[in-house]
Amino acid sequence: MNLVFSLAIAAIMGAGIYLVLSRNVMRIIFGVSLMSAGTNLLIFLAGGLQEIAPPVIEKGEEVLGTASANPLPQALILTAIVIGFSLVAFAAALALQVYRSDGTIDTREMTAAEDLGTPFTTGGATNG
Amino acid sequence: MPIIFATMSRVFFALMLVGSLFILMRGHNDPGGGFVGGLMAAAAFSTLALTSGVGSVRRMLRIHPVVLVGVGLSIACLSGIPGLVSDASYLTHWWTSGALHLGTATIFDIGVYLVVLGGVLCLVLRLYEEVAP
Amino acid sequence: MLFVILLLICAGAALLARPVLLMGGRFGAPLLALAPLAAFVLLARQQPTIAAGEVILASYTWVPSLGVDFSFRLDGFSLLFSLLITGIGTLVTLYAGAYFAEKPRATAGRFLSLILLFMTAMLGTVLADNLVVMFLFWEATSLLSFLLVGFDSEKAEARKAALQALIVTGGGGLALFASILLIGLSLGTFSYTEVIARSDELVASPWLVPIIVLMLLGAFTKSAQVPFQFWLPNAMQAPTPASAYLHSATMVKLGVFLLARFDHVFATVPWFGATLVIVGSLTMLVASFEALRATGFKAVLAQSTVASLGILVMLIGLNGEVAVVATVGFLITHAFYKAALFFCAGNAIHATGEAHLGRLGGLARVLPFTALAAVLASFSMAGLPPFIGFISKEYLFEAQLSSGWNAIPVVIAVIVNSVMVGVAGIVSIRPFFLNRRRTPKVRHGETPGLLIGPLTLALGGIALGIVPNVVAVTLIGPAVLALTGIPVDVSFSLWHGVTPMLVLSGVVITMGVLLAVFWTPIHIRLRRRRILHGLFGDRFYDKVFNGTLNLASTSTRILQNGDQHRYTAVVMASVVVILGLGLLLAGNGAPISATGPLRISVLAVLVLAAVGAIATTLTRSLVGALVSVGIVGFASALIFLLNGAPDLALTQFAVETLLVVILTAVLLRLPVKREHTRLPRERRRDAILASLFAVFVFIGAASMSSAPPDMELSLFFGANSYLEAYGRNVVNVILVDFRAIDTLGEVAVVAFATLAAWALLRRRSTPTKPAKG
Repeated sequence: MNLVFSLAIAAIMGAGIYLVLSRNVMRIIFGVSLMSAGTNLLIFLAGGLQEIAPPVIEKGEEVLGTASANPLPQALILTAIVIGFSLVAFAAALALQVYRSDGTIDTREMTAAEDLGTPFTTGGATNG
Repeated sequence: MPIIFATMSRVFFALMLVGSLFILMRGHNDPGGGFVGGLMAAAAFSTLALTSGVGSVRRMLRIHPVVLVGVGLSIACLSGIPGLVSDASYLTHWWTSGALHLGTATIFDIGVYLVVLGGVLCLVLRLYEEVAP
Repeated sequence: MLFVILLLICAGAALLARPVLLMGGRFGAPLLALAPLAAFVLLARQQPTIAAGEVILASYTWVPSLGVDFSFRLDGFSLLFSLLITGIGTLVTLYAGAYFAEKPRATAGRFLSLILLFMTAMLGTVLADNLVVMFLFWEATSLLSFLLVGFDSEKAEARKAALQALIVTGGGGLALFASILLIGLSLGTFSYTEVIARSDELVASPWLVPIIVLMLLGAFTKSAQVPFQFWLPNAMQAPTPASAYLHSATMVKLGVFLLARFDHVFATVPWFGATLVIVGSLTMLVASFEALRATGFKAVLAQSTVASLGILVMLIGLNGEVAVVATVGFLITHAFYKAALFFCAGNAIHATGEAHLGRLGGLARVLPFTALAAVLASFSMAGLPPFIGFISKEYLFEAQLSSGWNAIPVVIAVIVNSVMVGVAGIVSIRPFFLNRRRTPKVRHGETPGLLIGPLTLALGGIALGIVPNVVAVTLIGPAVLALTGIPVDVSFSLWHGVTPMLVLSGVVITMGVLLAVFWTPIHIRLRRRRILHGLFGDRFYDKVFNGTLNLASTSTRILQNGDQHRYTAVVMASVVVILGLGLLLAGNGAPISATGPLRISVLAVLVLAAVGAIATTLTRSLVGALVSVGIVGFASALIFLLNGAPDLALTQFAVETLLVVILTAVLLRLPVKREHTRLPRERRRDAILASLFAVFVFIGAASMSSAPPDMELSLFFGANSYLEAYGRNVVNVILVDFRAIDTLGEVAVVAFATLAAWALLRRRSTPTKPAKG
């Protein structure tokens, strides 16, 4: 089971990397989204997959039964999901605003910083 | 917008909102909690925004979503102070003894709920403000 | 308390310098000079205690866990240095007040504030017992030297010299720090007092060679020894009061101070002393040679300072007590005459606006007292009786003759001292008494403030020469005791009888006078040889400096060419390389094996997720990509649900729904372009990169999951979540209780990210550029 899991995670992350390498801002954002999904699954896999009962202490018991799933990675992933979501949402808002001001979502055409010139050619104090 | 969907959306909204509160409160002992509850509530408001427009959501809310975020964050921060008093350890929670299961952890979770709800609403309301006629 | 008061006096005066000068007017600088004077008196009052052989120690806790305390140590050697620092500091403060009299008061205030801060740092360096604290003050002196050399910040040469001084001495400082850390590693202490007590342990340390080499680097850069000697003459860009103080009397002696301190520790390491003798001798030769070629008034003095520093380093390297006495004696002598000469040079340059030695002449008529001070100081420098310089030189030769070295150092010392005599003649006789025709226009004469410094020091030089035993008993004896650990009977007298030293002195003075007489032809011959220009200068420094800049700009041009794709590709390629290396080097990880039963339902969902991910890369439509990303999200929610994580599943479902809602709204406003943004070549390369990454992730994930996970923390949470936090849902209890502060931080991230998006999407203005389609 763990090998299938690993294979799926590798596929999701590889696809994410490929998308992040794009020059289309929205595809980059999709790539980030895929990579965070892959990372969540990776953490989940790290916690072990043997037990599949939810990590909830039974009524009447005081201690979590041994047949429960590992609660620790779940707690980590839960916040990671929400953080990943707000990151992607923020990035999407940023992309939208860039499109509104620059009229493009292609990073080659976002040249506001490059238009200022490089520190090697213009102005700047020389120390040498 | 079909009239049936518009009407049903109100019902869905009410159901989801109540459901989200339920999920929030049972979180400590059963699956659920502030994060899920907040997301669920945000989904409820989003449904309403998609069908009846952003304006009606704002009227329904009465409070600005940014205020919700701030209030939520403040509540979460404040809930840690009792622990500072008793244990000299921030965010060590207090609990009532006895049958009534309440504690500062619940207050913390309510803060989380409000932040998530307010945050998502910030995004949804902004983005759908201009789409709706 | 003594140390705190001392440092507070100096630092407080530094803080008050500007307001005092602004309000005090003409009396501002004398008022400020009271602070170093008070420190001087305070230190002088400790002299009887120290002379009795006591060492005053004090310690204030700072970082006890690292063994770093504010601990201080006042013994004979640090007392001598402290007295020089505060004494000359008082004179420099007075002198600078007069020197800057015509400048705006704010400028003078800034300068004096830096000088007094520098004095604080110097005092801290020589008084610190903890080596880390000493290093901090040491670096502070480098920084302040940078600010003072570059004080005329509108001059490009001053800026360049300042940066050069900072890079050379600061870089050496880092080496020294490494050495100190290694000492701490070897002995488990940073206290100098303990280091001397356990010097045999340090010498036996496996780190001995790096410790010594790094320390020598620090000392040689600070004290301008070959091959780092070039920065000191360049640092003459500083205003003259700073040159007199930092670059002759105090700061450049710090390297000497350090070496003298550790000479006793490394006494049993033969190559330590040998290195010092060789480097010191080379420095003496190079600097004497350069002194003959130098043209500026201050430049000649600077080269002779380098030569003197070389003498000091060589003396420390020699063995025997006489060498130690000679070191300490020469330290004092040099501080007296060199600071006085710098003051005189400052007066001449200040009065005429001319820094070129060859264009100055006949100044004795307009600057009579300066001329007197210059002659007295230079006689001391030349080592003529009855000046203290004479005694000092006698000791230098005695130390050399009585050490185990052969004749070469003696020959070098004779040559170098002859040049010193020549320099002394050139800087005192020529500008003040000869070349009367060349007298430049004089802007103003002498003021009391400009004379106090040079006259005090020059007359002090002769007074010490006449009654040498006063200083020998009160200061030199205790300093030698502090350095060698054994009381040495130091008796100075002008007349020793006819000794080999006297003969050598006679040779030196004769040769020096000849040099002074034939200075001009020698100077012109040497300057004509073009090949000499690049020999001992800073050409190598410039090469390294410019090479570094070029490397930086070239690599920046390659790595950051303005194309975001390039940036991401470089980062990702590095990640892939590091992952690959990590897997390669990890080696003995658990062998990959299949664990857990294969469940058809999970398998199907996993396949769905993988297919969704790959579909995202294949579709050209952004809406299509959104759908496939959504598929991956819902599939992972299902995976969570099927593996006992209902909390995660719920959250993931809700997030996925909301994400689709939000991204749809964004996509509605964006053009759904279909053309590629990457060339086919780039796409192929990226695909290879992504596949490599995927392969490494697979190997890593598979080998990680082959071993059973560490359950220690999970078991703790499972066991305590109900008993201590009264919750049955362990995941939720971890979030809101055990790791609540973590959650609080994450909630804050959510809050700020969404608030930022809220602010970003506010539509206030129309697009600044028309849409490009």
